[in-house]
Amino acid sequence: MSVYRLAPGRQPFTLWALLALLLFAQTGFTQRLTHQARQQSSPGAAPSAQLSLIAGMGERAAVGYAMNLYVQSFDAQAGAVLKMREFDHPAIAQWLERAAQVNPSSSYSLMLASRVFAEMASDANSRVFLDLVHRHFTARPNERWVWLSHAIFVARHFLQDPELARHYSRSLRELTDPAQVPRWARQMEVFLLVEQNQAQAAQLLVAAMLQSGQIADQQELELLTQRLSEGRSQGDRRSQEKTLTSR
Amino acid sequence: MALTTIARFTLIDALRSRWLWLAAASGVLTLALATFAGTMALTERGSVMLATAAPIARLQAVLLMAMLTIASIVREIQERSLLLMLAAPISRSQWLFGKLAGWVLLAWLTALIAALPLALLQLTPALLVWTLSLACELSLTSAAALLFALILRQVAAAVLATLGFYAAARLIGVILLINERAPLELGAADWLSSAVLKMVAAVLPRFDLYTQTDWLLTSIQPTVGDSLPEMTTAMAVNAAALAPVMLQTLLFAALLLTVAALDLRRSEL
Repeated sequence: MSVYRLAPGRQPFTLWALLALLLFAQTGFTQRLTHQARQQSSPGAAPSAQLSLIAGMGERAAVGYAMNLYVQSFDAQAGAVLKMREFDHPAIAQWLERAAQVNPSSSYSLMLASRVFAEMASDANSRVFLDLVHRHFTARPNERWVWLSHAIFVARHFLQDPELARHYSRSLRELTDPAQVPRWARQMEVFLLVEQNQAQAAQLLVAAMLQSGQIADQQELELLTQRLSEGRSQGDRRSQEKTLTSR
Repeated sequence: MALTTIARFTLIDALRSRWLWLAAASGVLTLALATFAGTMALTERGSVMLATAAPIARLQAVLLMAMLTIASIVREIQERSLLLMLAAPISRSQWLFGKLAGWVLLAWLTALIAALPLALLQLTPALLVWTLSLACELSLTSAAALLFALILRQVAAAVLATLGFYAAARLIGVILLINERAPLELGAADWLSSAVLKMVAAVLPRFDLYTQTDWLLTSIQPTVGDSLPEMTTAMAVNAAALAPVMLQTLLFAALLLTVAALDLRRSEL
């Protein structure tokens, strides 16, 4: 008798049925839990850099990227998509700041700040994101100029703040190495001045750039001269139109 | 001869414990998680995948080696096969050396398997340095697991001790950094805790300097288009990072082995 007890027996049908029933109950339960999850507009306060590093066993890159991916996908929660304008943008800026601090060799945070959140946030919050990009740009200008050039675009066309755009473009020109950064990026300040109808200031800037050896190429000089003359003629037309309308 | 026989049987024992299957499954999981992270990335996709894959591969390999070593040693003690082995003309030290040789060999093979998914993502000389460093880290973890299993003789206690040792060795660099940045005016208790911390740091190996993901992500990477001098420079930079790791491994493995030999000689089996 004891021999038969030790041998593997047939599993009764009732056990299989119970297993199927419990599996079904478990899936139903977890589905309900997912739908009951609360949607949040804020990711909460970002953990300190030290705490994040301890939690991530000192893996700087992995912790930094995980923070970036967390805030990047924050709009998709519990199967629903939140409106990005309704986010707690200062908290998101804090997470991005922390990610950049933890993983300084990556520019992922600057990409998210300039290309995703600065374009979606309110004007005041957008300036917070642009300031973040500008501050981190100054630490490694030759590697991060791309994101500052996008910040200039956002400042000029989304915020309609040419002064801020000029401030960033000046930093881009002054802090970057001509050998490592394309000319169009370093000449943004000239184009912005021309656009603001400040042809004289633009001329002075081009002269200064020529003198300091920042413009060495003949074609580059021709392009800038052409843009300056275009700007001057546009400015003349505008002032003529103003005079006519005032009469 | 006795040493190679014990090492060979350690390998066979690991194979019977499904070591190869577990290592391969870890590799598949690493690749799956890296691919998932990669699909989410908007920029720096390659770096995101590597930064995800490398720490996961490293941690899985460490856990695998620690668990296998502890389970095997505790089983040998509890099933009395250690006694049977020592009935043969083999000294306790020979048995210990043979066991360690087997586990170190397994550690190197595990490191190779752990590096395979990373090789699929990015094949550079830095990966070779990363793999060699992981092999050293796994060898030390196995040696520590062997020591804790011999002393504690219980799976749960030995696993907790080994993981505690590993976490302390990984985090000691960050903790020291935090301690250095603490306010200057310290009380007696702060001074004491700082002194204890420095003593612990002096004894532990610095695993935070081992198998760094940054080696894989750094821009100093030789590529196919590079000239010979550029490639040589990049490889020299990578090799320079490996030298202290190798030296530390040899030193700490000898230290662990000495402690284990002392404990094995004095204890009742």
